[in-house]
Amino acid sequence: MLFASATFLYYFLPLFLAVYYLTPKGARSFTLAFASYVFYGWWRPDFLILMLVSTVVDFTVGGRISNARARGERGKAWLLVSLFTNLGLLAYFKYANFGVETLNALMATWGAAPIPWTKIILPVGISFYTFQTLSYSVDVYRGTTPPVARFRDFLCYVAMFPQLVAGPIVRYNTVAEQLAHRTHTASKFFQGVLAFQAGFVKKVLIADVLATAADPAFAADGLTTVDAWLGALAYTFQIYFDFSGYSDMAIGLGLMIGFRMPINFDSPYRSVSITDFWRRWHVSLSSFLRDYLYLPLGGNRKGPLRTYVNLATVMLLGGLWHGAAWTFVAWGAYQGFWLIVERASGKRSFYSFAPRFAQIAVTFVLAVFGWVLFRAEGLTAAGEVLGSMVGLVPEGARSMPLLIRPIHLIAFAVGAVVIWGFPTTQRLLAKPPSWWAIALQLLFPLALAHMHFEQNVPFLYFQF
Amino acid sequence: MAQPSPAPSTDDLLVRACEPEEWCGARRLLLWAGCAWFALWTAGLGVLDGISPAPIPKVLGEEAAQRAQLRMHASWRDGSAMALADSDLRLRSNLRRWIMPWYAGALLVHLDEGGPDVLVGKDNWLYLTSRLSAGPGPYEPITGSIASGVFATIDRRSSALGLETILIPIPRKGVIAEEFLPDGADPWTGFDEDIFADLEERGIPHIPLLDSLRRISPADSWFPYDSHWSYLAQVQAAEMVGLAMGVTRSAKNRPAKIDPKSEFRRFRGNLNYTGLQERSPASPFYLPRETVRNFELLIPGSKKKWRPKALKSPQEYVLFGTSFSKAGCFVNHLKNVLPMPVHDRTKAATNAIENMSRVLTELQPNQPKTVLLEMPLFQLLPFYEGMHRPIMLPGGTMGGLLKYPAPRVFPLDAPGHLSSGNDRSEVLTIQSGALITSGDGVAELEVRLDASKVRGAKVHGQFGATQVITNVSATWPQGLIPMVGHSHSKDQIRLRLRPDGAGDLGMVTALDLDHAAFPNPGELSVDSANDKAWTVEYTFPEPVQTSRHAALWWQLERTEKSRGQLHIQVVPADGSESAKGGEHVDLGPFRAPKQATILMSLVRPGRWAGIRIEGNGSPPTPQSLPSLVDLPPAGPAPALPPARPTIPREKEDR
Repeated sequence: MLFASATFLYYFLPLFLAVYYLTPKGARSFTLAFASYVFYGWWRPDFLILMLVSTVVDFTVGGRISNARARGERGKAWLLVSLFTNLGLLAYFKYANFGVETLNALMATWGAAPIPWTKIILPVGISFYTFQTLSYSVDVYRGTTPPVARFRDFLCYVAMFPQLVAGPIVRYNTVAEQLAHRTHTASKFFQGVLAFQAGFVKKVLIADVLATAADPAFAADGLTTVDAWLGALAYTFQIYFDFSGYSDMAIGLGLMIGFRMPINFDSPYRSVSITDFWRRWHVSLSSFLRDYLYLPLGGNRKGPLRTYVNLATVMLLGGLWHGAAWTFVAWGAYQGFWLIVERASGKRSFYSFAPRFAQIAVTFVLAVFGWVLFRAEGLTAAGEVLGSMVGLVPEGARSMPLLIRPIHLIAFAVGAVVIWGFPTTQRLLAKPPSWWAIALQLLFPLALAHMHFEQNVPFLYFQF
Repeated sequence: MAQPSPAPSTDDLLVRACEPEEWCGARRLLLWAGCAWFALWTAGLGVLDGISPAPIPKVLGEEAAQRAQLRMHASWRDGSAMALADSDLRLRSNLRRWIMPWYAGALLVHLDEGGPDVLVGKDNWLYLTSRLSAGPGPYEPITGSIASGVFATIDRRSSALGLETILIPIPRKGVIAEEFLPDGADPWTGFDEDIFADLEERGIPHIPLLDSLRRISPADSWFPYDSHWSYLAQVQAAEMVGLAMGVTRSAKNRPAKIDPKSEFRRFRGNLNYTGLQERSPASPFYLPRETVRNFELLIPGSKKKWRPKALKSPQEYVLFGTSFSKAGCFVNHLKNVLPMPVHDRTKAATNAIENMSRVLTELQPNQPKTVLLEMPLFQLLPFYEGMHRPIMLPGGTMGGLLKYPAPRVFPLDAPGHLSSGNDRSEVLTIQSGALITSGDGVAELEVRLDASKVRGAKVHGQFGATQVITNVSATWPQGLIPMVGHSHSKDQIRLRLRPDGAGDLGMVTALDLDHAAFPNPGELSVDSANDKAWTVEYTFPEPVQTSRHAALWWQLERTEKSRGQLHIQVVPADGSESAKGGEHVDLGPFRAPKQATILMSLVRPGRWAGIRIEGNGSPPTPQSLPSLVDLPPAGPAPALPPARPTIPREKEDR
């Protein structure tokens, strides 16, 4: 179910909130878990089993590790069960197609018969909930969090619909207390309404509008330099407003039901370096990769060379986490390259001597080039767009006069003001100004109208 | 495992919740008003939509049939039923009915934003972008020739049936009213022009509407809000047809200069695709700002005044038109203009290419008739992906020889020749299919899964996971390039053909075999005397006649994964020994996975009684009955038709 859909907004959400607040406090987590399963099952009910399996396995693993620790053992075998289950699910459902197709392509070049293969459907949100359950088991194993006592709390934690399919990735220890005891106040609820409205407006009025510029640009066979830049910039704005919009909506829905969720974006396009960018972009993922991959690999404790290898590994896997395609690997490598370059010069960019606004501008441009790799249909297509951006326009490329229309220019302008002129939603949320709250009330019906005007555009991060 | 990282500080990571004290005084009022406002726009709308839902816009013809089919096959298990429910709830929304049209109208007036599929021209006319150029790269003249090859094909085939076909190609609005479009919006105007020129050159009887319509004001020819002809244009075009055929003459009392104000009543149209209903308060938003010239021309004050006087003609005509609604469409006026009996076979929501097939299937051979065939040219654009995909029944329909419901054939960029330097691409949704080529050649075939469904799953030279068809070469002369998928659901795939100059693949079409529904009337016998050799024999219910090219299609399921050999013989109906007279194809090692689709091509005409398949290893279990499908004709460029009287050009006094 999409947040930006009539089904969710007019039926599911009101009904859920009514039932949730009519439920006795002690059973609200169960209500939330049940509603979350309905929410997820609306897409494909049969894939609920996967989520349930992951939940049951890690709930069991957490308990067993705790028991083992009580006996003075480490319970490593149980941790391996969790790793095997979660990474196995992820490997099969997310990467098996990619692996077999790559292998078949290789075999075709060798003249060998391809491996018969039935394409597997990627369950929505599997990357998010497997990471969450996995992080729980690892934290219990590390002793940084106690095992969850009640299954319904864990069920609720894994399935919580606001962040189920596109994050932010919520670690168990950040919401453990709230699962058992959380407060429900009118101020928190309204804060949630504001966050939800802000995210909805960002998604529908900016991201979806700019999608109509980015999509044709990336579908074109040949682009002029201007069109290539317009397309790349449109996608750069689209992905930010789409993903941060979803995160804001998730945070808002969480607040409506008493949960405080982790922030996921901190004005990433105001970063002064790529290192800074990764402190601000998809914070829940970057901190997850840092704590569960980079640091276990040794972090920066084993010398510069090992640090670079660790950074490259983390970014390559981070890229692959976004999707099973070489474009994501290339995007991860690109980001890793800049992180290594900056690490080698003392966590500073090579343009750190420039004024701050210039640093922000250069970092933004580097991010734009990265998003081309991220968005393109393949490496060849990415190369063509990047080539056009630097002036290597392919023969036969023609200008696309309809690529940028007035509505796109407005979306660009508003987007630029929001990105570089506004505080982030969570900072506004901390003490919501009245003008912001009123503006959102006016923009919300407008966004609803636009939702009906355009076709539904799924959230970009659903596919990851 | 490395040393554990310290537990993150919760307050560092989580959003800050406001304290109730922060919302006091006027801000408290804002809090409650905001909550109530949010509830109104969510729960309130839900309740309202539940009690009094907005009517779901009606759809007709093919779209209605498609929706009915979707509903019939919807399942809760795979989420398709929920997707339909989502769509219904969206359409039932009162917000869509009340607020959205105003919003859309404001966008149109202030930003020239007509919606996802609508473009606002310089003169504030609206164009459907799907009927303009949306294709990659500049216009290639060969594309127009390919499209006109479609007409040549239909002309040749109908001639063989004893039919005289007069084509009425309908040029696109963007071609006639080019100056109203944003610069460069439609660089494919040459497409329509080349088609008309090509028809002239080939001597194919047609009505030259392009030149005729250009002589009247483009602004008077089309509805301002979409790509349909205005009433005036319908009347005038009907006259042009009559005049070109020499069977009518224009009304003498017709004023030399049209005065819309005196001759036509006002009429407000609707823009259904953005949700605007007729007589909606938002209608004015959709009208052009300069309304007088552009809009007051749709309904004539007196129909008699505009009806031309007719000449007598004994000949009967059969008219195949394309329209959602017969009321008020061009073909209706044509019936009024033509003096002789006109049998109207216009069918709601049929499209140009489907209409061509209908001409050949619905009319009996050897009953000479003159056929008027309306052909909207936008439907021949190679990148046209409107609701009415070009659908062409295979050539077998021509002689009425195919006894089975026919599979769909997608002409790749319209049927025609695929030659060096002429890349094609097409998006199809098929599971099992084939490319049919009528010539020898070498091409690289790139097949991509739809990126919107399977991110990054780009497969080169491969369909599904069973057939590698990169560098398709003369291994497949004049026949089938099989594409067999084995996914549970149909994939949207993108085909790109890149001839490398080694030949001419001729007419290339893509055949969706999975779409075909085959009956089950025949008898199938499996003789597996031992587990090493087996024979499957199948007799067609009645002998199947094929022309030069035909395909055998059969779905099998292996009982185990062991490999085996299949030898397929098509048994002639004349009783001759199949080994001598039948087509014999050795498929070689049968490396199919559990599910397999066999496609083979026959390259000579014949009359066939059945098939015999011999194999070793474990016998397969048939999943369908084998079917013979006659295919579009092969060979080089369609031959020019024999000389026939050409349609007289429009009279000068027009």
